Amino acid sequence: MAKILVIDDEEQIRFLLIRMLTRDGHEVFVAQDGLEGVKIFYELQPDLVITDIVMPNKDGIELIADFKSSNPNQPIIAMSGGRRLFSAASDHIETEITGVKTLLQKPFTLQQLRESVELALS
Amino acid sequence: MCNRHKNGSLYWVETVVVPIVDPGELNPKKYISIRFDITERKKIEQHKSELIKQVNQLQKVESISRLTSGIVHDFNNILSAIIGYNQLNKFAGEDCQDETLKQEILFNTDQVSLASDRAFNLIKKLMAYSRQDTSNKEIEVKPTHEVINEVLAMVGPALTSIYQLHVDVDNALMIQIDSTELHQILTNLIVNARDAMKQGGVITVSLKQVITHELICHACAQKLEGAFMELSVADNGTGIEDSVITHIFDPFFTTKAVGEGTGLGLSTVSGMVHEAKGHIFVESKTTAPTNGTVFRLLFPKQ
Repeated sequence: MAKILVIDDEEQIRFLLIRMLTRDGHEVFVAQDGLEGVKIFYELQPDLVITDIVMPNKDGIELIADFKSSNPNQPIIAMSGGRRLFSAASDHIETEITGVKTLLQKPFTLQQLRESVELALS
Repeated sequence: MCNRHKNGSLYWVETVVVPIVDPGELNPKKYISIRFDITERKKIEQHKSELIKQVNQLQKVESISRLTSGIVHDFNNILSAIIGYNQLNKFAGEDCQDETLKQEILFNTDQVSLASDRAFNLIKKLMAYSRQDTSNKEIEVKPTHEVINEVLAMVGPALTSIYQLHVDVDNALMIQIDSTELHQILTNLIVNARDAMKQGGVITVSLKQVITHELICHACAQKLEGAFMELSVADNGTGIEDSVITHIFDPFFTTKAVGEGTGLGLSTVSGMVHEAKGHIFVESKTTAPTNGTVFRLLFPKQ
């Protein structure tokens, strides 16, 4: 199973993803903002990053750019609760940051999360 | 003062009256009246006032949209937690060995799930207002007259005999809008028309081509000129006061009694219409015998 880094400023979402992903046997690590996310990312070299878009300090768009410059093939799932922001982010991702296969719209179900993880890791 | 030229056109004049008093006298000997034609100035003032109104409306729409986006974002995060943890509870319930407890847990999680669905539907309406519900959305466009007929077939039987439905539709016109959304728009407007006529009346649905001059969209304040496809829903009900029309597309604004309306109907309509590059112009009169309201939805001509 995969080593997954979850980056979200909402504690409840972080715990939720830990519970959902560990149910499927993944090893899960969490960061509460972009800066912590960068630090853990370089320490862990995770198989998959699941990151929120709207966050303090360093947002998801900056993070994705950072991770992609380090490893262009890094699997990443971008998630957000706001569709306008998400829509803007997806354009950004498609045009400037290649390789993000999956966008996860909040609220999501366990099934949607599973499908996203499978797609991102495939 | 407003006067009329011989050719019938109106013009505005400003009159200055100057008293002429001889030295040593107290009372004026005569008066000189000077009249200025201020028609152009009046036009400029009116134009300026309309522009200020448009800017205010745009700022209001922008503020509400920004507020709505923030609410949607935060609410979706909260809903993620509610839906996600509820799912985990459901799994725990399914694994429960005690059958009574298992049924209790599964019933409770189903109720939370139903409430979450309702909350998500509410959020989707707010998304529609702030035009956020567009990502990865595939739209299904059907001939407009077919959608109108479907809606009328659905709401027609629900209208009692005190209401009459008139339909005047140009079948050749096709608005580029998702048919499900058009369904929702028309249903909303027809239900509102019915509610505006408690004693009964006539609801007219029409689809035609129009040429407009200097109309201002009541929802986004954009100036509308040129050829449009107009889908309208008219009633001869109580009418809407001008001061109320400026608020009817705001989320959560309602004139209905508590519990009768969410205040999201027209804001959703506005969001969907604008998403399809359309605009809304409302004509309303509150005094008999011409009382009533027309919601004119103007879409770009193909």
